[in-house]
Amino acid sequence: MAEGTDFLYPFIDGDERDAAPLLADLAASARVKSAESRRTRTRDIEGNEETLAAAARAMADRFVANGRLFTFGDGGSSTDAALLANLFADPISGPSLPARCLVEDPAVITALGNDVGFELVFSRQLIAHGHAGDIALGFSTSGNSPNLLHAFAEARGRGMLTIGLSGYDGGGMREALDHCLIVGSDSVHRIQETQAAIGLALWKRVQSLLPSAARDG
Amino acid sequence: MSAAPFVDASGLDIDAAQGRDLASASFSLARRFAAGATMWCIAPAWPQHARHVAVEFVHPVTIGKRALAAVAVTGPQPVAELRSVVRAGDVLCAISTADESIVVDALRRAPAWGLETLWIGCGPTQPRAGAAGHVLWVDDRDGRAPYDGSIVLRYHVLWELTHVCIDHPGLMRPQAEAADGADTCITCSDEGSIGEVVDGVADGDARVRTPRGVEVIDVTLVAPVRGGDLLLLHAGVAITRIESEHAGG
Amino acid sequence: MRFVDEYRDPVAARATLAEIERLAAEQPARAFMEVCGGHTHTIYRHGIEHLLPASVELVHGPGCPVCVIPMGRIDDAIAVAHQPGVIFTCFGDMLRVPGSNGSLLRAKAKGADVRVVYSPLDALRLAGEHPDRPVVFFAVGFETTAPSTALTLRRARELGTHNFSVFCNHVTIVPPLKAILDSPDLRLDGFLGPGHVSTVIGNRPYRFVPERYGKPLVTTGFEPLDILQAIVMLLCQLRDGRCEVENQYTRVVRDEGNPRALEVIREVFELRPHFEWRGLGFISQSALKLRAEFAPWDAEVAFDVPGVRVADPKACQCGEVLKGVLKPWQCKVFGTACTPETPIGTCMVSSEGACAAYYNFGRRIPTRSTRVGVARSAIADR
Repeated sequence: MAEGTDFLYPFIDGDERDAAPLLADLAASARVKSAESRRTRTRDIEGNEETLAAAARAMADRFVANGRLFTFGDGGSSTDAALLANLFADPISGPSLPARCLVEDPAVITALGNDVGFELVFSRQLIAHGHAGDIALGFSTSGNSPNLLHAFAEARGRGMLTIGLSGYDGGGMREALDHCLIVGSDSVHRIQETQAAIGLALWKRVQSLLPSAARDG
Repeated sequence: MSAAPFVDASGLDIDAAQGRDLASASFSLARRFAAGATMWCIAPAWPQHARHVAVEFVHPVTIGKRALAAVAVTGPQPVAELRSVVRAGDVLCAISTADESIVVDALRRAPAWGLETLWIGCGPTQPRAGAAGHVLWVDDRDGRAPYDGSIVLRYHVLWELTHVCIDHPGLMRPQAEAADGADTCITCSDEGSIGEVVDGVADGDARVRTPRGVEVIDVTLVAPVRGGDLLLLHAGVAITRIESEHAGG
Repeated sequence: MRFVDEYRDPVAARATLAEIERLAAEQPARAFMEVCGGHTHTIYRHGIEHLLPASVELVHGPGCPVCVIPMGRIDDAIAVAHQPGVIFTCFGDMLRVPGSNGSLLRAKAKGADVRVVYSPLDALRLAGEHPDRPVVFFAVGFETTAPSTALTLRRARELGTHNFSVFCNHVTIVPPLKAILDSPDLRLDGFLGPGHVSTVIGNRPYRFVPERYGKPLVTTGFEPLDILQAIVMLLCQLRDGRCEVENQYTRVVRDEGNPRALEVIREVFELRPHFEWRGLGFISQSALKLRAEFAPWDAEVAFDVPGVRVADPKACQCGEVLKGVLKPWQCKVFGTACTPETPIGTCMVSSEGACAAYYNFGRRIPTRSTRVGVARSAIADR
């Protein structure tokens, strides 16, 4: 039944037929998002320059002293954490460094989640694996995920270096860590894109700070 | 020590042409989802990207967006796994460089399985034209695109735009193509559809998988065949093989 | 560029179109014929004509085997279908092809047992299921389809199925190609060669086109992108002063074709001295008939086929359309007296026929052409 308001709410009855205006909007929108991603990335890599340099220096020192890197995160951030561990362990250039992501084994994650609670899925793994001299690096868009905050607390208690990549205003991770790199966006997507770039920059700097013997691999 | 080189990666930006490609890829994807598709994601070198795509669609971060069926296939035998789980009408999303043999193999089999295909990739060389239904490429000469957010940006935008399309139900309806496809004459259109051999049966026949299901096809002209062989079918007969070395041509 | 976004791999399609524009700008206007009905279908359906520069024209060839069947053969088929007890089988599009007095669809309505099959092998299976009734298959198609019919006949002989026969109307694509090249009122600069026909016959039979007629030919696949790439290859040949047979469709077409398919065609069929093509008239050695060894399965032997030759209706200009002299919308009856629902000429019958394809996808009319004005009012917005 045609209604006088159909023109205003075409989605209700699904009367729309011509996709061209939508596709034009989408194409423009893709470019706006890309530009926003670039803007965020440029601003926040530059804005985090000092933290980035300090974090890379501290990480390089730990690696030189045989420390290992443990990464973690939830959801999309877990995949960023896994890719970064992968980049350190199986790099696109330079020497391999010991790195592992704590989200890769569903048996461990579900066992811990089920038995002791999801907020402890990373901290319990650090109790098993982490030692003084190792590095704990977590990705979060909010900076407030309880399981990350627990993991960082455990890591500090064990003498590990704590590095976080956070979004928005940094959340709880802002004050609780040795180094916290904050992407000041409120879009989960733009935060994750810039966090990936920061992770790459961190890796590249750590590589450049290793003694030449290690760099030669 | 400057951070600039990591900011200026050429692959980060979506240019006007790729903006259109993302729009049309999102539109196709949305139409498939609206019709009940599952999107299967493979990224053999970086399974994390396949998982990220899956979590993005299954568990949307934004309130009011529906959960869409996406699955990361990250086991040791992705092609065999896909063969067993995909249904005609589904979508295959591959993330890799152009020379990733598992992805090339999966994409050439996709027509036999009835899949729409999407290839998000990076690297110094592009796939051959037409290798997938939609190709979103990031020019990347030193291997950092998988790590610098360029690939992530593409599938994030794909996810966002797909949801915008789904909110246009009028455009998501099945359209005339299905109807006129049924009307196509196999003889006159000189039809040749791609099928994948399931197994041989007696008397020069084989069971062959096509988007319509498993059909008994006369394979006399291309025998002997083995499970997994790709064939070109016309009027119930396999008229030639599709050899893997030709897939790249 | 809107249609390009709907193509497979629109990125590559846009790049290819830009290449066509560059090449077209540096040479005179070109007209290429796509020989195959499948290509015509792709071109109309995807609005390719609309995207090409004005100086590159596509002319639609005789490549629809249903369209070229003359009325007399349809009348013969209907006569066979009406024989007592006969189950008459054919591909879907043959149903509506008009004979001089109705179609197979009309015959079915009048009580003939006419059934649509997907493969001649299905017709043979039907014969196995109904051993007490004669089952006839109306074989139509080019070299792509002939192996399927041949294998079916070979199997019928092996099985000793004697209630099965074939009414053979297979035609070959190379003779009309030659007829078109010999036609005086034709101006073409090159050809898009058939795709799946070539999987069977290979690329070698086309060599006479460049060698004797000086026209390049590029064997082509069926995606819009395939057709665009083939146009680039033709334009490059013309620019470089080359003239040869090239293969765009390497993913399925081999130069030698499929020797086993050719062998089974040779085993079962022989050439007819001549055959009438609707619109093109009689073309020598352009069709296949069953060899004497297969006479027990030859419907022309088993049934008393009248073989009356009936002229095609005068108003219909299918011939000119098939030769590429007229565009579909320039035909006197296009879209008015002749529509897909009530076809007069066979070009309107099959969905791959030039007229039906044009009618169905006619909303994507090439607006740059002055000739379009004639047809626009005639194209109903379905």
